[in-house]
Amino acid sequence: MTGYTYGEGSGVIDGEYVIGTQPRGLPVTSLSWIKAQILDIGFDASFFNNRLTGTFDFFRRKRTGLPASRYDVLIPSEVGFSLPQENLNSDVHMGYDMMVRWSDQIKEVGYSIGANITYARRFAWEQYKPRYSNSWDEYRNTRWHRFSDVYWGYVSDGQFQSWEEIAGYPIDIDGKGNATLRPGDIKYKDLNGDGIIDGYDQRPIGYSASEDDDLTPVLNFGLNLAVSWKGFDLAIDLAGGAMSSFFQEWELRNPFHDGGNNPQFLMSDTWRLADIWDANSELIPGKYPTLIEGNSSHSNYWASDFWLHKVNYVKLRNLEFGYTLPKRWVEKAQISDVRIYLAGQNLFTITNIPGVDPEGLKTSGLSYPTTRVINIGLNIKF
Amino acid sequence: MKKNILVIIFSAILLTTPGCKDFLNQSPENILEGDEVFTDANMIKSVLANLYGRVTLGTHVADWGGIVLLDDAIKSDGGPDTRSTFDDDMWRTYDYGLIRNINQFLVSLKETQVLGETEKKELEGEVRFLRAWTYFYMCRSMGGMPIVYDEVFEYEAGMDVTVLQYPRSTEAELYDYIIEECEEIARFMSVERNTNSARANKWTALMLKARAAIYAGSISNYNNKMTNPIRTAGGEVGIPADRAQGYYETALKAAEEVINNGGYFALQTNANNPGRNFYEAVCVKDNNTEVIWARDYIYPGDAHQFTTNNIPVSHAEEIDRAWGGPTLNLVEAFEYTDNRNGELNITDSNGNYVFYDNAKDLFAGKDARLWGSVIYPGSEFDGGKSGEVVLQAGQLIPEGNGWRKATSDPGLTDDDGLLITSENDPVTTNNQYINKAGFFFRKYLDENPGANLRGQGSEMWYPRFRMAEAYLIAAEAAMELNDQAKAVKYINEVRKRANIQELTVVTLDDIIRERQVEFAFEDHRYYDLKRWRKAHEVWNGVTNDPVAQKWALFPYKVNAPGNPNDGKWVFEKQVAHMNPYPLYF
Repeated sequence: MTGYTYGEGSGVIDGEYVIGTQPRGLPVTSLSWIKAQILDIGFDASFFNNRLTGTFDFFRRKRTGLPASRYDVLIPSEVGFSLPQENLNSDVHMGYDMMVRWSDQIKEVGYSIGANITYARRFAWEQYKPRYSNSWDEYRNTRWHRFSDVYWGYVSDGQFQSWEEIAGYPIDIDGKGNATLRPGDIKYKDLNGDGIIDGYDQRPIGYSASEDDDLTPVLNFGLNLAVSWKGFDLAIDLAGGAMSSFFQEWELRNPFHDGGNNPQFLMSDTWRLADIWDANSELIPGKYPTLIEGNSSHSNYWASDFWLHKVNYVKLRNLEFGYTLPKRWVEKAQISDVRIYLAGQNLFTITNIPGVDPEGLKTSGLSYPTTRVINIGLNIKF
Repeated sequence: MKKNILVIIFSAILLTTPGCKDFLNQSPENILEGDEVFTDANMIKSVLANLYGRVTLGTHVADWGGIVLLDDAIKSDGGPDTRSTFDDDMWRTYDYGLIRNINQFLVSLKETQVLGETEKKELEGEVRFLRAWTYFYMCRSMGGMPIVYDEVFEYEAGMDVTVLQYPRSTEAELYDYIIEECEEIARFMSVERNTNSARANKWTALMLKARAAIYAGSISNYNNKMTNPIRTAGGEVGIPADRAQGYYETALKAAEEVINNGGYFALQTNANNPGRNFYEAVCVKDNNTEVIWARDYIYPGDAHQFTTNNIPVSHAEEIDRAWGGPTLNLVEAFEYTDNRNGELNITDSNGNYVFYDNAKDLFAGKDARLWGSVIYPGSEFDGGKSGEVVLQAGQLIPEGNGWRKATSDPGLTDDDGLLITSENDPVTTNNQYINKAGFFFRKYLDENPGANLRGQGSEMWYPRFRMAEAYLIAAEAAMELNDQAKAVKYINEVRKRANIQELTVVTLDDIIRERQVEFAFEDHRYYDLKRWRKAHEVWNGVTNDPVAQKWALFPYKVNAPGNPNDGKWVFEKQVAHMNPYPLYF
């Protein structure tokens, strides 16, 4: 029986705005629940009278029955609906999780140190009757039992240092006989040896970095420290990630992107002429290729490991320093506890890609970094 | 211990109390079953509203980007549009999902108990009309398409899909289906007008019948007159030449029925102010007798931003403005009251400038529909900030034996305080929000307060069928049937309203021209030129061709103290820099 959804579409009839109701399409008869099988092997241990504790978990979750359509059943478009989905595909998440902690008390000083690490990867597991047009298509596009979230691009091989090098270069980098290249432009490795750089030279060069993907790093770790002495207490949490990628593009890569500006670090360290009004003046080398405006399809801006960076970072996630007033001071006022504290979040970041927040989501760099917060507080318990 | 007992007792009560189990189950509030919908008249209207909203097909007023793709308007916003060819799928409609929903509505409508028989019949007519309308849009862009009649398909995994496959009909069969549907439903649909003509009635059905028949007739006629007629082997594209007569007769009959028996609907005329009358006939909803069916808009709910984006700079109240404007090509297609050659008199026979006291004097004596469709230099517009629309590209200053032009950034004055380039421009830069054609749209531009504001928007409707089309279809059909008396009678009604001379003989070129100026921006020209198989001759890709190339008009004001022409206006025609390449069909 057909269902209807209220609130879809609208019309202006009889001089009124009427909210529409639309039929929902075929009732679901071919799709059922996704099934998950989870394997978890782990152990918890504690030694030395619970001063040293640790846990370790290895996990593997396989989900079967992910919705997909059978592409080989063709229904004509005049039926007015598209082929219903069935439970056909599967994926796997696998990884391990480990935590270790030492806590002890030496006379009046109590302290604990803990570390944790998680490694988790996703595999696109099986799909409905995968089909390939040739062995390259299979290598490049298969998702059968493969890591998902992989970034494919060119492998860069340095930069041209002179016009003579470009003139004599055996490989066609830009697809136009190297006619659009100048010193400072990026060289790519011709991995299939055919003398030209094109789609066949793309290889996996990093982890997924597109804004549409899941950008959680594969490896996440943290360090927790806590010290207490008399009424003082100090807790520090460091959090970090590794095994993820950042793709530098848009405003961070294309000169004058969108008719606008670029960061200083990009524009001040490029290959440039000593005198921009004199084409024969000396070319000064730099880190980035020459600034080319309005030509974002130039070979310099292809996706390669020149622009894709590995991201490793550690952030001081939480810091809290507090002092609890001695009980004998506050008892008289019918208060049972007073504690003042200073707390901060995201206080500093150590990362290999400066200038951009490693937890940022945008490849253009145009996102707010994680907020640094500093709090001062007072807890009073009655 | 006491606490534990209390917890246990409380949980036991909660878990065993009957009737409380269902309070954890909630049905979704906006997903309804079929019988919940069709037992409530308001819900039936809601489904109907959804269908009406989905037939906003082709170019329409809320999609001003589509209006600038032909030879009658250009985009002024930003940089040039280097496109010159037409994609095969331009304005293509291919929506069987909608057909399916209409068929489902028809099935449920037959079974519902909450409506009376006449109401059911009228709704059935409306919805079958919408279905025929959708098929018409598919047909005119693709030819014959599978006709699924009233079928609502079902699918089960593993079934044999060949039973779902319906072959394409021939082009003639699809037009016949549309015409038959319209004829059948016209018998029982309402003859009353509804608010703002937003819903279909008998006259809408007859208009679609007339339009479909004239399209089919002209395809049948002109396709076969081509040296290489366009057709497919199975007839899905191409109609045999012997059908032309029948289609023209059908078109004429349907159009005449609307003209003669249309009751409330009539050609809206006002001899005292024909220009204003034309604007009101197309654009003003109150007291409107012209528009037979329109896509209506209302605030709050569904208002659009055509006025906000296209209003002249001098009248704008938001940052948006001057998105596009009509071309000189269109302006010169309008005739003069007593001269069929519409070319503007900007240079004399020696190539010297002609001087005008006021900018709008250049357009004196033109077809009244020009005022109603186009804001030209010196005319007035009452929306937004109101007032005269000054279009001044620059100043004309004497230099030696000739002249030089001075231009500036928009709105600047010179040392004597005289305006150089008006804020309305036109200019030849790539900036946004300034005019580059020399004209603004008047048709569809809303004079109501607030219509040009982002927060409100315009309620301007989009007329789909209006009385003038019935007259022109009748004129065209009569002409093709060699009934000049009727053809002349009908076309002259439209021409009289526009305050231009009447014709004694009607040719195809007259019809082409009349439709171009009457229905500017109304989603007719592209398909008209295609059905007459003229598009490739008109849009011929020839540089500087008067029709295929898009032209703009730049007004200049003379700044020559002491010269008798000081303060007068001259005009220059130039290729619209926003469309450097001529249209090539």
